[in-house]
Amino acid sequence: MKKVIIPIALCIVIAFAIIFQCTGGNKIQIDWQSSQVSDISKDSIELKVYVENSGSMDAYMCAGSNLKDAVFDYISDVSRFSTSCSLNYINSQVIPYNGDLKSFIKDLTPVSFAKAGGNRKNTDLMQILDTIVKEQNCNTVSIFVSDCILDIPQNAIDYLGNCQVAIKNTFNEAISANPRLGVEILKLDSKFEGFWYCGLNKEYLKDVKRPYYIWIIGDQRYLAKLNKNVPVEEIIGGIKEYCAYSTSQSIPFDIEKKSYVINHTGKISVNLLVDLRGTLQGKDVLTNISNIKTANPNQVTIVSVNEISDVNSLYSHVVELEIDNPATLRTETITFSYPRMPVWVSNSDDTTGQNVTNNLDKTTGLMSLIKGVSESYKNYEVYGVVTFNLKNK
Amino acid sequence: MGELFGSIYCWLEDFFGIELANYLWGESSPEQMSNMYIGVGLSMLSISLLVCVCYYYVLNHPRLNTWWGWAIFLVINLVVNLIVGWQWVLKDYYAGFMVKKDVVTGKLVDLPIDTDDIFAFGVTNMIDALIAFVIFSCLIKWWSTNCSNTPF
Repeated sequence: MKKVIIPIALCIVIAFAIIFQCTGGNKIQIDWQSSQVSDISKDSIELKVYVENSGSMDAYMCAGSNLKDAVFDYISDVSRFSTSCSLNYINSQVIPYNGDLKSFIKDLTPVSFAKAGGNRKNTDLMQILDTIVKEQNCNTVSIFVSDCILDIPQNAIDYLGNCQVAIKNTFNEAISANPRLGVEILKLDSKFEGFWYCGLNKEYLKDVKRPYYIWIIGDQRYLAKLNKNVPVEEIIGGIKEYCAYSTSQSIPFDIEKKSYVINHTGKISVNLLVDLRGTLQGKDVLTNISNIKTANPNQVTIVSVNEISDVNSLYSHVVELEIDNPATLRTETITFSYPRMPVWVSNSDDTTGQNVTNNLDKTTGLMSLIKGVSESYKNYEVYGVVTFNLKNK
Repeated sequence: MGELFGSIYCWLEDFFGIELANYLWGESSPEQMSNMYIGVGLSMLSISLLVCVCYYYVLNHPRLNTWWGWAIFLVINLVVNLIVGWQWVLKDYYAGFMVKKDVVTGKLVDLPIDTDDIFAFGVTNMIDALIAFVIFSCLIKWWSTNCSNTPF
């Protein structure tokens, strides 16, 4: 009898041990409240183009100007996605141009700039930006082309500080009026032949390239749509630098799958599909994992961020997360935040307004302009968060 | 049941690969979303039980009442389960089911599973069949009239 009982008991014990070992706890389910990409396909976009026509811009309008090609190329492409496009010169006032884009580009000459009128001697960029922003409606996208040189007087430090505050106030008001207001600033360069002006200083330059800037201001959803269809990196001649500002928004996202098996490593790999186009940030910034933070850094690791190339995808990026010991995690929040002041801005800034030949790639007062914009967005350091829950299946 | 079989097979998931393990769970491919461990596991148990029953009750020959007699049937069981487990999964491989949608490109791409992994799964099925055969032998041998003394 003993001979019978012992092996049977042994088998039963083994069978129970196997069942006990194997049942439950090896699957994880992720739940989340999916946030959809907002449909703006039927919204009308009103495009307003402003080219600064002060005297300092004349030298960009020389034969073989890269500026004309870039502006023509970009505005042509962008206008395909807008319902209207108004073209203007701007200095102390807005001077509407009555003609089509082709003739507007053809008329980008010192003669037509002078003919257009306005105060061409001094450039008040604070006033210009204020005017542009105040002419914005919710569906307006404004494109402003300028050398962005501040006419620095003798007491430059005070002036730069005042300028920064004025720009900040302008954009603070604009954000209050449109909480989705976004700003993109592109640095490009162009052949420059003629006089460079800054305050009372001037110098004749020939066979050089000087930077100029394109500001794109509007609802960040529209800017995102334009960026998707007309990437700024593809502007003819390319762009040198880029920065952008946007307010915090809810991030449209989805997760590749709901259910995960925990293998012997005790880790699961989760692909988060997010639409980050609304951030307006460039490719390098968006794919930099240091801009993404996890609420549980001991358990959740950001492995990679990749741009989605599938044209049919509703999302722009896939964030790969590795979750260690997911059975003990209940909720995870991923935070997306982006740098406010890129290094290139300080590298491109000149505070003297003198000796331009040694500072050909620099722009006087640029820092205070962009810092003013940056300050107005300082409450939006975190662009958005994505939250999901985990439970044992 | 699926969880139980899956967990047993996944004791050796390093041997046949995490990707194949996930595929068999039905978690990797949009072409195959069911738990394949149930089918393979039930067939492994059925084959092992059938071979066991044949040895102890159908043949039930006194000359086989030795450790090598039992071992012959054990080897038969192992070979059959090796082939069944291997071919069961290999069929999916050749049918092109072992794919996943790449989230970046939106295109279907092959899962990183090769034929060696699939053969390794067959071997895993064989190892599980060995355990099942031993357990079944211990459970049913007592009522065999000629072979109740094997394997021990």
